Amino acid sequence: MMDRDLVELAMRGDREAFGVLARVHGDRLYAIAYRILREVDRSEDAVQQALVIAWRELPRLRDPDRFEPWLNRILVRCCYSEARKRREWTANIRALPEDGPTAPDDLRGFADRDEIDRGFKRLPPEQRAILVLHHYLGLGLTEIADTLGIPAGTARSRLHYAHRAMRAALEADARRPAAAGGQRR
Amino acid sequence: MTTHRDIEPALERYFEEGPQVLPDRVLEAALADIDHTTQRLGWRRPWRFLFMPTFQKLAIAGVAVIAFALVGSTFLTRPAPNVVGTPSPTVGPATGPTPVRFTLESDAGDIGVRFDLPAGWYSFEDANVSAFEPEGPDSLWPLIGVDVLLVDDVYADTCEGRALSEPRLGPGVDDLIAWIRARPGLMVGEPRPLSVAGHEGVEIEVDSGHPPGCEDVPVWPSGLPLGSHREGPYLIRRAMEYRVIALDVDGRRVVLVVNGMRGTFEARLDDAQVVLDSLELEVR
Repeated sequence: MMDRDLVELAMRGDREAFGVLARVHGDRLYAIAYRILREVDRSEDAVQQALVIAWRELPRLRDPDRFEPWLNRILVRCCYSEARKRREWTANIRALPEDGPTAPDDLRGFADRDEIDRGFKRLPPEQRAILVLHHYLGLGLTEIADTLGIPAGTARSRLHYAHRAMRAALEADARRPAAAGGQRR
Repeated sequence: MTTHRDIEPALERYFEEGPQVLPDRVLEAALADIDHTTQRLGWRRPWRFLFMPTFQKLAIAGVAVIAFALVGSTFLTRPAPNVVGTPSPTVGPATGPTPVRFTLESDAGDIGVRFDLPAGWYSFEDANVSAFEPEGPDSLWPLIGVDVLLVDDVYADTCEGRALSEPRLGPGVDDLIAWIRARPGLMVGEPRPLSVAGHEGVEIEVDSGHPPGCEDVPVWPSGLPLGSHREGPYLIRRAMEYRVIALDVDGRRVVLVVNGMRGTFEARLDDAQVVLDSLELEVR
C-alpha cells in the first residue's frame, strides 16, 4: 500500500495504518532527532512525542502527499521543545565574526570531529535543525522553508547565520586552550 | 580565506555518525500512547458527507438551519453570559463569513477573555491561547496572530531564557513597558497610549535586535499565558514582527501580543484588529 493510502486511512482514525506509517518513518525521524539533539534519551522522547502529535493532528493535514514534510516539521518542533527543557543548552557565543579572512589557523583543519561536536553543541536548536535539514537530509532552501514553515528568504538567512554561528563556535573553541592556559577540555 | 564551504564537508561527515534505527520499544511506546489518544476533528468535510446522496445533504442542511435559527433566537433574547468555562481544546477554522465567538479563561480562573475568531483563523490549545491565521493549511507558524498573555515574570538573561529577573517585575503596565525598552537584545519603538476593550494601556513595537549568540530573544516564560500548555520561553523571533500591548484590566496587567511573519505582518494587521475590536476582558 502506498504512503498516501495509509495516510488517508490514518486520517480517518485507522490506528493500524498509522502504525505502518510510524514504522516506515520512525527510523528517519529518530536519525534526524538524534542529529539535532545529540542525546539518545531526548531523541527518543522527541520521536515518541512527534508520533503522538502527528496522530492527534492528522485529520488537519490537507494534502496527504505532504505527510513526510509535515511530520518532519512536527518532529523539529518536538526537538525544540526537548531542547528547551535542558537549560544549559543555549548558545554561549558572544561574538559572531563577519565573513572574511578572520579565522585562526586552527580552523583550517575542521576535520577534527570533536571540535565539530563541541561547536555544534553550542548552537541553539533552531540553528542545529537547519544544519541537519540541509547537510544531513540534503534539503534545499525551499524544502527547508516548507519543513520549518518559514519563508524561503528566512530559511536562507537562518542557514547563513547557522553557518556563521558554527564558525564562531569553532573559533571560540579554538581560542579556548589559550584562555584556559593551554588545557584542552 | 575560510568560508562556509569549509564547514560543510565536515558537518556532513559529522552527521553521518549516529544511530539510524528507532528502537522498537520507543515505537511501541508511541503506539501505546496513540491507542489512548483521540484525533482532533479535521477541517475537511467528513468523507461520509462526500458520499451522501444529495437529498440527504439537503435534509441535513435544512435541519441545521432550523437548529441554528432556534439556538440563535434563544441567545438573542438572553443577556450575554459571563465569561466562564474552560478554553475550547481547538477552535477553528472559522470558515464562514461570520466570525466565531471564542471564550477562554486563565488556568487560575481569575480572568476571562472573549473575542471573535475571524473567518479562516484558528486557535490551538498547544499554542499560546491565540487566534491566528496560518501561513498554510498545515503550518504551525502564524502569518499573523494575537496572543493573550499574563506576564508576571521576565527573563534576566538576553539569550538563554534561563534566569528570571530578581526582584520580580512590578505589576503595572508601565513596569513592563519600561522593562521592554531597557531589555538588551530588543529593538523597540516609541510607546503609545491606547485603549482596547475599554481598558487603558500602552502599545509598543518590538523586534529582535539580533543580539550576538541568539537569533530569538526570550522575554518571559510561556507558561503564564492564559490556558497555555506550551513550555519554554516566549520568544521574540527574528523571523517575526511584534506589537506588544499592555493593558490595565481592573488592576491586573494583561498583555496582548500581535505577531506575524515578517513581510506579511503589516498587510494583515486589519485582521488582527478584528480580534482586538471584539475583545472583552474581565477580571473576577
